[in-house]
Amino acid sequence: MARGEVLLETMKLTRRYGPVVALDALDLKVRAGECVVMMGPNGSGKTTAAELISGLLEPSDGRAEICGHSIHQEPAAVAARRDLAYVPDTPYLYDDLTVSDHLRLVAAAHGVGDQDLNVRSEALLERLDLVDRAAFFPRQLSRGMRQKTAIACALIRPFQVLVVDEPIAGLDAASVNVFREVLLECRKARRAVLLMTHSDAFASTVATKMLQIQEGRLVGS
Amino acid sequence: MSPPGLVAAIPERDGVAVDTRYLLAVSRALHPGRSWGAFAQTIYTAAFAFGLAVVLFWSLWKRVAYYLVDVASPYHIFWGAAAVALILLAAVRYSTLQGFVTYSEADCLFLLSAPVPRRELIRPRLRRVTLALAVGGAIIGLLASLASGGLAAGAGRMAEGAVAGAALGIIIVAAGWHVQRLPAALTWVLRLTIPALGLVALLALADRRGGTAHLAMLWSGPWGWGLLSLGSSNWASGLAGVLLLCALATTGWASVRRSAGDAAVEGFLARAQTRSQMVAAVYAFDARSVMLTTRRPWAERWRARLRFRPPRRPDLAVPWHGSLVLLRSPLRLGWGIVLAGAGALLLAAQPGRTGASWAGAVALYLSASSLAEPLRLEVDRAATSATLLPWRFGKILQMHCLVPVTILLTTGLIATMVGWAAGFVEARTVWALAILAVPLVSVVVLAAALSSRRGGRLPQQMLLMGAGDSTGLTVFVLVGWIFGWAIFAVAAVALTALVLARPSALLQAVLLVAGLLGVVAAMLWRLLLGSKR
Repeated sequence: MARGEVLLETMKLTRRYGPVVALDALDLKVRAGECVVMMGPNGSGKTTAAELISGLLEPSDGRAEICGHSIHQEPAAVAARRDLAYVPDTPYLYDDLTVSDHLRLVAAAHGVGDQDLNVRSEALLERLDLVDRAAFFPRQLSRGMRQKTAIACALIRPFQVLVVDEPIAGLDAASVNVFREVLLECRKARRAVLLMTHSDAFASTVATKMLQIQEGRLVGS
Repeated sequence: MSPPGLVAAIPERDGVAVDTRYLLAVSRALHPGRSWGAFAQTIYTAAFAFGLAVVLFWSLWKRVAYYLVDVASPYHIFWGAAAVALILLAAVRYSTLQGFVTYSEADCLFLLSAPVPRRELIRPRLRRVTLALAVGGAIIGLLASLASGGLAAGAGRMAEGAVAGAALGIIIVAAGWHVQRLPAALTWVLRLTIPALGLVALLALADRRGGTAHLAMLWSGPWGWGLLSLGSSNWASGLAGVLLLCALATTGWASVRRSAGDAAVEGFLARAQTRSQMVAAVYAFDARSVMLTTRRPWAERWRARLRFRPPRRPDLAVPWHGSLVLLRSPLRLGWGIVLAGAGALLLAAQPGRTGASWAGAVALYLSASSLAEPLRLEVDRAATSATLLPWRFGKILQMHCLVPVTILLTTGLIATMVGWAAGFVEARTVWALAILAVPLVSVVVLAAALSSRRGGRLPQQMLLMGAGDSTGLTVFVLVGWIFGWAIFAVAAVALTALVLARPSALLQAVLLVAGLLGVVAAMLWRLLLGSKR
């Protein structure tokens, strides 16, 4: 992967809800080795942007590409989904799967072999302080623990682009530090990161570029 | 060996080949509840329960069949086309809310976001549901052809019935799937539901007429094609109907197969979120919350533009809020006004006829209940008023009654005056109602308010009582809890109707009843004031 290659690109990405424009023609490029942080007040369009880029929402207009593949158009979306890891602001987890089951499922979904899975899940659970909770179901976990499970699910498989929406909400200080290390390691490994957060202090320690979003529009960097 | 980093290395080869079947197998293995064994057990339980119901309620089935099947008629089955149309409508309407293929929120994130072609994940589910509905349709079709004299007509007719039923099952899945995946289709279904219900009513009416109207109804769409073979003496038209259904089912299934990969995750996610809210409400026996989950807030955004200036007097702030909520639900407001007018007119025009009086009383209560929606919303969000408004909860609920009382009074009096001008309401009834109107409407609206202030959730004590009750009397307590205030209000209106029907000494009776209703209204008003959050 050449340094500077665009891994995530949005072109006039727009989402409307009736007369309300939640995201207005977002043009964005995130290159390999970059960590772009998007900041803005509540309701400014950060989560809408993250969900559009991850393919959970359909755009009203425009497009989003991961490593040159559209995330909304099958069959190109298959390749886009392979290269994209997403951590949503609400950790969606299966009620009937334990923490380690979640990691096994994601590994199967992304073609991670058994040996890799064992080594990586052990390391991730340890770093995220989830070893004791590996056999727990989501309802037995606190909000922060569920968030860490969602982060572990994103990190268990290979990815080129990481999109993270409010990752540190509900995390303790130690876990915030681990997550900071993750983002810095992503930069070092020349992955592209798009981070949505409210925390100025956290953003300034990991960002290569900071963007301000307001009423669905980028207003400055 | 150095410890692995937190970020996984990208594999050497370009991309990782993921086998969809392997992914689905892992998913199934991790979710033991979805195994084939559990599925077979569900089927067995359902079949056993169905068999038991058939045996236990055999006489009831026979009576139902007696009403719906008439072997003396040339068409044998009544309301068949209307029933099929209603089932089709219910299926597409269900697909706007859930649909035949659904996923959990976690599935949307982990399964549907996996790097495999989405059609490979969705097609097996579509196949399973199509097979289930085709088999179910075939069984129903077979039973329908048997009920319409199939044994006498031979195996050919029974086969036609089974094939028509199976084809209808496939058509239902296809229609539901397209509504589920196309936002435009979903919007049209929501818009056209009421006109479609009108069409169903027309089909039901045409069914009884026979002759050309009946024949036109049978040929008018897929709802009638399957019935052409039932009881029709012309075998060719029956065969043509079944062939038409088969052609439509084949086209439908082909389009479903082709479009299996086109569905957006967004639709599945929205349905998953609705379902989890609904399941939580069902487990809490909270009927109102179940109903609220079916509302689509994004479809009502335009209504936010409807607004008017708030009043200067603080006392009017709550009625202003109530008026705004009602104006933003024009269908509810219109329905409330129509019911109030119809109820008053039924009561005034024919006070001596018991049926009309009861119908009028029920209409008035339904109107009051419909217009009490702002009060119900206040109960749903009781904590909001605690932080935003300076009054005690009971006082706020009292203030929410002013708008429904005003609407019912105005509409009722206008309807009565119009009836008098048109000549079917007597003058003495008009002035009698003018005296009775305020206390009567107050009682009806306050009863609706007292019923609504409890929210939709059944009290825990009642649930516990029901669990430990072996006498079956809890059912009556339950019915009383749900309909108690409605029965009270309807009885109050019926009492008024009795007075209006009196041929002599009307003034004294009216004054007496007005006084009585006034006292009752004052008691209900006080009861409402004591409401707690």
